[in-house]
Amino acid sequence: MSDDRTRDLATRAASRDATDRWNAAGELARVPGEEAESALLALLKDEDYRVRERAVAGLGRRFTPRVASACAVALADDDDAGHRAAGLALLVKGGAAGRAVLLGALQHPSADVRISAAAALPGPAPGLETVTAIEAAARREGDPNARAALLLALGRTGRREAIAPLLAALEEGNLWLQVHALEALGEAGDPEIAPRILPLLTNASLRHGALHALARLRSPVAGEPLLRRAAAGDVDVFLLAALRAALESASATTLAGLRPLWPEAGATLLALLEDPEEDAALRTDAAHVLALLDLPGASLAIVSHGPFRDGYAALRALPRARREEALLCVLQVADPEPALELLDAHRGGPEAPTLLPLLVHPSATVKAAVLSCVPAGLVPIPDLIDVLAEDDPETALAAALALATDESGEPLDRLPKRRRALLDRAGGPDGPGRVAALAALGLADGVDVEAAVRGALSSPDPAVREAAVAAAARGRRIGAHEIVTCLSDESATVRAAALRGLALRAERGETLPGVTWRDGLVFLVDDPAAAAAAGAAVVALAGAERPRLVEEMLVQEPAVRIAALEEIERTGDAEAARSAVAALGHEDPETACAAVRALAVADEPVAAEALPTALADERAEVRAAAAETIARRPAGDARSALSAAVATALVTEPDRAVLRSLLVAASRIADETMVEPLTLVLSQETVPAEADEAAEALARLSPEACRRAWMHAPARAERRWARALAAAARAERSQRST
Amino acid sequence: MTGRPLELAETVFRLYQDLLRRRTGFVVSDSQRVRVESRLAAEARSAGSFYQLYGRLRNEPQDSPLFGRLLDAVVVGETYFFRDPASLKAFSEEIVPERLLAAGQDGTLDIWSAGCATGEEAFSLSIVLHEKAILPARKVRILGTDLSPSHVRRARAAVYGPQSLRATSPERRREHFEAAPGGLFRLKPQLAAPVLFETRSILDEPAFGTRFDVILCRNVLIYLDEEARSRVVEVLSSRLKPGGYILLGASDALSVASSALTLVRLANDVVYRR
Repeated sequence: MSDDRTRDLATRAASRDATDRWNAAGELARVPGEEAESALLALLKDEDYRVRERAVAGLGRRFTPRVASACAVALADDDDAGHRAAGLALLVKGGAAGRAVLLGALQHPSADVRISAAAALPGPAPGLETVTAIEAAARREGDPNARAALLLALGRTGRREAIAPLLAALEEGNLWLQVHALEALGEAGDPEIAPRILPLLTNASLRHGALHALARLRSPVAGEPLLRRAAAGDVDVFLLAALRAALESASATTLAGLRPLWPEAGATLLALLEDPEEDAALRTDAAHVLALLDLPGASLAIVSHGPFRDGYAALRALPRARREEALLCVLQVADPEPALELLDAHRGGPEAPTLLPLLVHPSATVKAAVLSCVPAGLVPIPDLIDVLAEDDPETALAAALALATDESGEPLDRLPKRRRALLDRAGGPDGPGRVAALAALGLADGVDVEAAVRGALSSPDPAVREAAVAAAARGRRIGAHEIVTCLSDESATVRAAALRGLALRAERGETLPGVTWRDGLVFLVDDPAAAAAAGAAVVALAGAERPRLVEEMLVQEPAVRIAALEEIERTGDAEAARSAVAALGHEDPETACAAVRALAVADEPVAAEALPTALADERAEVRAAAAETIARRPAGDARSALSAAVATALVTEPDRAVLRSLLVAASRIADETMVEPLTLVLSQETVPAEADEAAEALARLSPEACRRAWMHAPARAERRWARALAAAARAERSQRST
Repeated sequence: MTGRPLELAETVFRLYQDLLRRRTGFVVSDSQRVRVESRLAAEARSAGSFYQLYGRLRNEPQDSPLFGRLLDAVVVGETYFFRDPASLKAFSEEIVPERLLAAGQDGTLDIWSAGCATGEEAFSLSIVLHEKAILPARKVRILGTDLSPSHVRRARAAVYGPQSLRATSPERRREHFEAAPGGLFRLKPQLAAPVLFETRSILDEPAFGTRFDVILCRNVLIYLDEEARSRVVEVLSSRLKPGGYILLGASDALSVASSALTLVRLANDVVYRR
């Protein structure tokens, strides 16, 4: 980047137009050097919050001592709350250096500054020294609000060392501090302190705070005392939330032992469910407690009095033995939602086969969900034929795909009864059933399939012709020239299917006599669906010219260029992937994402350079695409560069969905670099399932490093590491024994 | 159906959320991910993956069957007959008599249930108009529109389960419904006759077209993003006859604070008037 360019950007960063300044901030973020840094620092005081956010994002990637010092100035700016907030946001991103500034600000004369600093602490990966510093500041703090903020910061460290000072604050007798200490103890998340909180339930002023903390601690120990209080009539929204959390964390045996402690539970909870005017959160928790305690009639009560705030999710809390009863109950109502809740709960799980009876539900939505949920081969063939014959657009495709597979996993050509049923429907009258049968027959081969597809190609129904073209392309018997004929079909969806078909044939490496990428060009200005398919077809058919054509596609309409970029991965062309790098910073996020995904097939050096940059993009969707692409790439030379980038991103990623993708990438990489950042993730109050999976993968491959992490981790991470290590040990034992 | 079902990753689900917001203004909550995964499983398998299915949907017109499947998957139609008695009372006892006077003896009363889900609200209006003997004596047209093709199909069938009739008295059940197979209830044909259903997004409504005496748009605006909300309020206002009324859900009220509509306090409800 030339100095002239940087100066131009700095001038634009001072423009009167906010959009100009916002754009300049984005570009300055990618420019190295002090001049660009100074311009970004000036933007921390910008009047427009979006510009400040961009400046923070840009500076977050280069937290130099100069940036740290500018943050300290911002933090102390009593006149400009926006400036102060930008400084705080940047300090949070600044890791240990940012934390040092925040800890220093705890001695600022202004209570507002001290409170702001406390609210931003502890930052990522707080160690013992951070706890000690915050605790010391809390001890000397005279302002009650600042002290309360410090107690909350102690709770957010999640460390065991923070618990003693919080318990001490609880015993000081100052109600304001006690309430905040309870909140912080809930945040710290160590269920072992539940017994210290339970006695506070008798203090009317602290009861709500104590129950809220117990709801977050999720300790099974709280189950018994809370049930006794409920039995004594102390039932409200706070108690039921805490009771639900305690029961959810208890084992089945414990639950069975607890049930007799509240003999009136059924009547009390049912009364709450029956009253639609009652608080929605209270009714929801009541439904869950009813299910957890396995009280008689729980299933029917939930189905009859729902939906609740979370729909019919309480059905998931029923014990396994009640599954059949729940099935009967959801079959008694025409509303599909309760049935769908059961199906969603067990999709992909070992109990999915037990949901087959739901196929008789009157709702087509439920039937389709059953067909997509239960394992292959479980639904009898005649039932599937019946569903297909209903010609319902909701169920037809699910039924046809279910017909196309059985439990053996044999190809459709070796399943004569299923194949015959699909052929019969594919040769029958037009309708959703015929479309679906043709889609499923794409998996089969043979002259009879060819005849059915050819017959469908001349159907008056464009949906049938579209399905026939797709099936023809998947098979090998119908020549490419016949698919080319379909390019002149009057329906754009059929033309699009033909273009996709040609692309598919090219991806399979087939020679397509007389067909070239030029055949797709005319469709680039067709209807959007056909134009996008044409973009993909041009790239697929381009052969050696692919890199150049990818570059040309990048100046086409969004639908075309995105489809063209997406095609690169399917062709596996590393040279074309190199051409996609130019689109990584494209202003359209979908184009940038498609370019990132193309890097799945890029050469190692290209991937090692481009993917870490994409992981640091300011757009969440681009970062997610980068993480997913890293997870898909095979292990290779680029692994160490990508591993370091994923480790850094795990610590700084603010977006939960992107974090999940990063955790999947971490599972695939699973080297020791991941242990420390993963410990940070595991110390959060709620973590995605992918975090536990990553911990288990790491515990299998790097058990020593994980054991070390377990011994020094904050309370929540300690428990999760312990579970992961135990699971890894179990897996190893089972592997040895086999 | 082979092995583990296809998964809809959170990041791919966001693409679906963005697509729906851009096309329809409809904001799909994060909690609906599993729902979309389960409802579109067959389509995703046929396309290859949820990402590839998104690639197809991205270029599909909104009225295509495939896009309709997406809309069916995300639009929640939780409603029932006589859901808001106070509002229905305001409609039948205060608004309708006034609008009939404005229409004149031969005039038509035009009513629109925007975001009608499976039709319970539109049919509730028809029932109360019959109970007040306004129907069939006067000319009344009731239009119900919804984004979801599946909801509209169910509304046209006019067959309901006990959940939909949870707030319907036994007398009304006996008088206005007949038994249908499977323990269901079918609305009597004369009550269904004045009601017409169409699959349409409120955002696709032209600013000019049939004008209505009463528009009911309850619990719809809360599912829309800010920009879509303003557009909808603008369109609804432009489609009212002079002096016509808009009835919103309690949580929708703030959305019209800045519009040209006037807040009117009736004896039974608070409504908006042009």
